[in-house]
Amino acid sequence: MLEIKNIHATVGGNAILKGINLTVNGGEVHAIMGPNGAGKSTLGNVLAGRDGYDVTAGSVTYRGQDLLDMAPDARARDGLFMGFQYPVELPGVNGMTFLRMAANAVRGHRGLEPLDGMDFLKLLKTKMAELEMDDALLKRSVNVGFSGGEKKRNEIIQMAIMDPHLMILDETDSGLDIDALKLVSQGINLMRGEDKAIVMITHYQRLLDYVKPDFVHVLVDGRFVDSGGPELALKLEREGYAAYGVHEAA
Amino acid sequence: MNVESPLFAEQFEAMKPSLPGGDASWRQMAFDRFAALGLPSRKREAWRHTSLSALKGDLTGQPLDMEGITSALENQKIVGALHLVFVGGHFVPELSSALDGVDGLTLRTLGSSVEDEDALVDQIVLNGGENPDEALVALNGALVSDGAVIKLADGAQMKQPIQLIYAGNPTGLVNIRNIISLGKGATATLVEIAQDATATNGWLNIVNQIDVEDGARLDHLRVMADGADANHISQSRVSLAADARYESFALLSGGALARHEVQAVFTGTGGHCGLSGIGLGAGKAVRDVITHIDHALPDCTSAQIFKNVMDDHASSVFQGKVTVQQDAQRTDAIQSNHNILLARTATANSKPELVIFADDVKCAHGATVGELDANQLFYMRTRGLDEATARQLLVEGFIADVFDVIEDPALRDYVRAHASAWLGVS
Repeated sequence: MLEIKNIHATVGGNAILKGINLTVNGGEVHAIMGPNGAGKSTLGNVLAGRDGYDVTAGSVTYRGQDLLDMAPDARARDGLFMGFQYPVELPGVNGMTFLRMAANAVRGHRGLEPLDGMDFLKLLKTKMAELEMDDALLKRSVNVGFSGGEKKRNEIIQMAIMDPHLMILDETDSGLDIDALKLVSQGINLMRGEDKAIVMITHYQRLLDYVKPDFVHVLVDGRFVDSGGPELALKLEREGYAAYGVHEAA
Repeated sequence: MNVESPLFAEQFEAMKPSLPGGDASWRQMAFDRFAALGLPSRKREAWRHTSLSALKGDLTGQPLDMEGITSALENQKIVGALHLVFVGGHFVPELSSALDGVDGLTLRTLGSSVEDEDALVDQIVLNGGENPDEALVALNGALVSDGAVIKLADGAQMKQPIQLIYAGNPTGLVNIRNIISLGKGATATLVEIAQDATATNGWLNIVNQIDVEDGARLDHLRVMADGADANHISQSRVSLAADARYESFALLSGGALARHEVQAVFTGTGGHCGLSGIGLGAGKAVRDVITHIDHALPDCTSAQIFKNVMDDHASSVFQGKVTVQQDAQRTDAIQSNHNILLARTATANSKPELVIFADDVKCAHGATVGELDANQLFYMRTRGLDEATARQLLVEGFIADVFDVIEDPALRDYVRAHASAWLGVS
């Protein structure tokens, strides 16, 4: 699904990623953990294709293609979904319209007919029932005036509707209370499947109680310094990143 | 100025006989006033961004080919409205609704009214004093060919919108004067549209005189969606009596030049004036909005919101003046103008002007100029939308709230469709 080979990346001339290797296969859930400033979000942004993140070395192959050569929207249409730590507000852009356009962009790429308003509503109803969410958020402008939790829920709705192959979820648990965390986690778990892969980028272990990862990687100063199973996340929760020479302020 | 031969003097003499009330003294008075004022130069603040130099040619224009006009009109007509169609500046009854039959409404055309009504004639020669900014109003008075005269009786509640459709304007200059008066407590909706109405390099010069009596309300929508090389100048003079309300919305989306000017004055207390609009421009288009709300009396409110989106070498202008006279205590006046530039070569000129002589007032204004937000664009692209679509949606989103001032959903959709057409959004 995704093969990252030795990527180095700079932001504003500063080297942030210093040789990342990662292979993600269908059906797998990976968690990338690390202290602040380790390069977690940079990795997410590089994969999503944000301007200003310059990959200076290495390669990323996604479903057999050179990912770094694809425009951000082409990546999205081909099934790469980025869940943002801080979803952006889009004043005046109706949530329902936006979601249908996103769904149809993906469908068009897959050679499917676009959904008209009625068919889209049917799909939405099914998905919302699975997610145990309601569509009140979608009647407003995208993310405008949403609480942190509502923004994250909206990301999960978008993810469910766009039906991606690979999901990169950046700090999806930040700012969520326990009920919202459960709801969001349930949405992520619904996306698990043989032909799907999830990469969760997170500072804390909390999310991993609800979405069990197959692999945990520790990112420190732009490199993976450790990898293991779910038990590694528990160890980090107990001991922090001190073992990797990092001392975080409380 | 050459006193012996003022600008347009020969053309005025030549055109007069074909105009209603041709030899009437009021036409001469209006022309004399124009001759004294001359065309406003760009040294005048209100005309700084509007060049009239191209107007100095032939005012009469070429004869029209009526083919195609009729079918285009059908698409512009609002279902259920009363339609008054003006082709080349002249009312065409065959293309219009019947003018009688609505209770409380007296609807006539200026062309059929000027000969027998002195009061009307007095109105046409507006008392604009020696203000050179009034020159085009004077020229309009001298050369006016037609217009709508709309009068609502006290208490008349017009449910049907009245729609004025301008079409088939030749090269040269077409002058239309509409005179609208709403009696006490009356309500009405007026829609004007000029869509692909004016020939290349042609000029459409519209003056609206609007009188809203005590407790009456007029909703006024203007769609300026003329062809790429047309020029559309409009000036609305609004007088608001006690507790009267005027809500105006203008879409400036077409023409080389679209200029929308509103001057409103409160002549009673407790009135409200809402002015709003959207300017959309590409190429070298100019979208010029000039407003002046005169809070002459206490306890009146006004709210203005204008947004512009300029691309290529287009430029927008917002000159919004609010005057709060010394007696106008407890005035509440807000004003905002927000601009997005889609190209580095586009321009937005924003000039809010508050002149306040009273002390117990609330006045606020805000103006911004910016580009589309890179974070927003990126976010939308990560949801599969290509860049062009994302930009369109963001622009649509930027102007979306201005449409909200239009309360009638059908009319809101009607106006929004014209904006969407410009944006290329289906």
